[in-house]
Amino acid sequence: MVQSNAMTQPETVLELEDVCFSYTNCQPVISIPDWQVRAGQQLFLHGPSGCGKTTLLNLLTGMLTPSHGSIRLLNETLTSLSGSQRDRFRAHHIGVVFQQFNLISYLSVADNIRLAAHFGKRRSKNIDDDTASLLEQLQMPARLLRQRADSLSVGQQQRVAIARALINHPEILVVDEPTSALDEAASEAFMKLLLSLSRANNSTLLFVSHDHRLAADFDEMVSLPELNRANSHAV
Amino acid sequence: MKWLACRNLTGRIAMLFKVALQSLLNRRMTVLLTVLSIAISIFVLLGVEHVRKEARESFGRTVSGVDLIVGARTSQLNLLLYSVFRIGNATNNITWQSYQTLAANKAVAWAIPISLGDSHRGYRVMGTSKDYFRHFRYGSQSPLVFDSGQAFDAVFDVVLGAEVAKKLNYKIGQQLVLSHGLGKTSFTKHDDKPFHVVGILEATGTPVDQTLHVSLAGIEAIHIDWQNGVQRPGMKISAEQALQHDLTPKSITAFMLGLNSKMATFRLQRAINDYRYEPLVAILPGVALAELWQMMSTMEKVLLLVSLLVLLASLIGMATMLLASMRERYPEISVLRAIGARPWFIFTLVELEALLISVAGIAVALSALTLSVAQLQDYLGEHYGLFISRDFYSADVGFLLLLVLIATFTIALIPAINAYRRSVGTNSNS
Repeated sequence: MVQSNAMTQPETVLELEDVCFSYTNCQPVISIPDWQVRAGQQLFLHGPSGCGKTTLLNLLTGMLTPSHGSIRLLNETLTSLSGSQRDRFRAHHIGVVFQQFNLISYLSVADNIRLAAHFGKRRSKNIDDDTASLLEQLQMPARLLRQRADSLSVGQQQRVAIARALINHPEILVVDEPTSALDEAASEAFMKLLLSLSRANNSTLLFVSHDHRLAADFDEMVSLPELNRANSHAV
Repeated sequence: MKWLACRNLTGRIAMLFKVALQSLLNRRMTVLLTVLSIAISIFVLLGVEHVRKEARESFGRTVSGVDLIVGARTSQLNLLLYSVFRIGNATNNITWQSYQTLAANKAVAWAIPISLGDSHRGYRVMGTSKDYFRHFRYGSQSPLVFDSGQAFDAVFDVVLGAEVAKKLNYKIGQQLVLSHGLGKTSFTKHDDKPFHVVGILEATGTPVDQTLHVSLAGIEAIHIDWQNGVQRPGMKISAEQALQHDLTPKSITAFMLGLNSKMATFRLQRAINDYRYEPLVAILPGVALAELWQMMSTMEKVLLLVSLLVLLASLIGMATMLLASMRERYPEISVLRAIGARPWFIFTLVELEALLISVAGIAVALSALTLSVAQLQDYLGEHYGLFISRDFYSADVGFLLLLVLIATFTIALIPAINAYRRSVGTNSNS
């Protein structure tokens, strides 16, 4: 079992060593010799589309395994875990927010969050209380909980996605272009909420976007094309 | 710790069911149509199976203890059908003389004459003798039992089958009028010579229930002023006058024989088939039934095959529906994966949805079958002498339903494996 939230977080949350990934044998999409992320950091990963952003995030969340090299998350070597162990690790320690389609459309908002809590093995009885308080912090009315996810506006859905990602108090929050479907005002509001909630939760934030303008409030910005030595333009 | 794991498991199953049900409800139109198509195919499968089994049972129990049935020369099936099942018509009558001669044969223990051709509100009338109530057997050697009253005595007495009395609400002592011919709405009625109900038989689950029994003299009496199937004009003979006439029948339709020894059956059969004064045929009911089954078994196999193919078609339809829905479900799959669902969860979700559809189809089919068997019971009994029981639950049905579920699981592997592969592969959410 990986250590829980309550214990002191390791200094280094994420550590990549000689990681290489390719879909076919010919050309690597990702090639990162060495990369570390400190705990509690809010990191802006900048990259134009086609530089391997999504692939990198899939590697970091354990959805994909690198062709070689090792990925360590929270002192756990992700690359030596089995598929189901990685799935469990993700459920317990990583929150994910996608570009869009973050919710299961036919479930209610409450059920979407409950489902994440279920996979995160939250034992606490007060999931509903936590959900309500998260929703309040996200400035959303509680009545939305009973509505179907697809009856919400895109902006509301993206905010629910933050609540869904944070319900298990993950150490790491991975966010992928979450504002691309939002207008400027909604996007600004979203970014504010995301940064303050991830900070309040002590999560390390890995935020990926092609949009420089969003980088303002982050601790650090990393350019993905510089990080990634694979000079391909694969998806 | 153990109870915690247990609670976890039930929690997981509850969650899986909830997601599957909501997902199906979300696509309720296509799911409903799929459920209907599966329900129809299961309905056909179970219906065919039930009627097939019940038909055998019902036909098999209709006559027992009768060694030979004798009628005018025709195919043995035709004779069996009209004499026992009241289906179809006799090609010809046989003379009273022949009947008497053959009934007096040393080998014969008892003989029951049968005279058909009249009806009462769609139910057939059978002229016979009192020996019918004494010797006729059905099922496993069960004799006919009177629910009330007794056998006919007078010329214008009638004994009703259970169904006739119940459906037409007749009681002992009531009067009824027979019609000429077999139509339900016959215009030629023997209304000048009404009959009195003197007995009502207990239900047998055989065509006996749908028969009105009168004496041969009664049949003779109502036709005394008729010739070639029409009433002779200006020749009306009243019921009282008819009693003065000689009411010995000149001909009957067929007769059943019980023999002293089974050993004599074939010898007597040959003798009857070679009867010199009239073209007759004698059949063994068991042999004729076997011939019927042989004819029907090919038909049964074809029906079963067709219903299995229909089932297969609708299961493939379901797989197609699930597979087609996969494209729009990829975002859903990647969300589930992102929050930590394992590929097996996705696989199980799709399989569970398929099984829920099939279970719903089975439920619809069983209720429809229960309703329609209850509805069809009377109709089949009345028109085809086919008595099917309402109770169609049996080990065979359980086996067939299990087969349906296994087939569902197997065919749903196609979309389920597709979803599984999808969830193991990359996770691009758009």
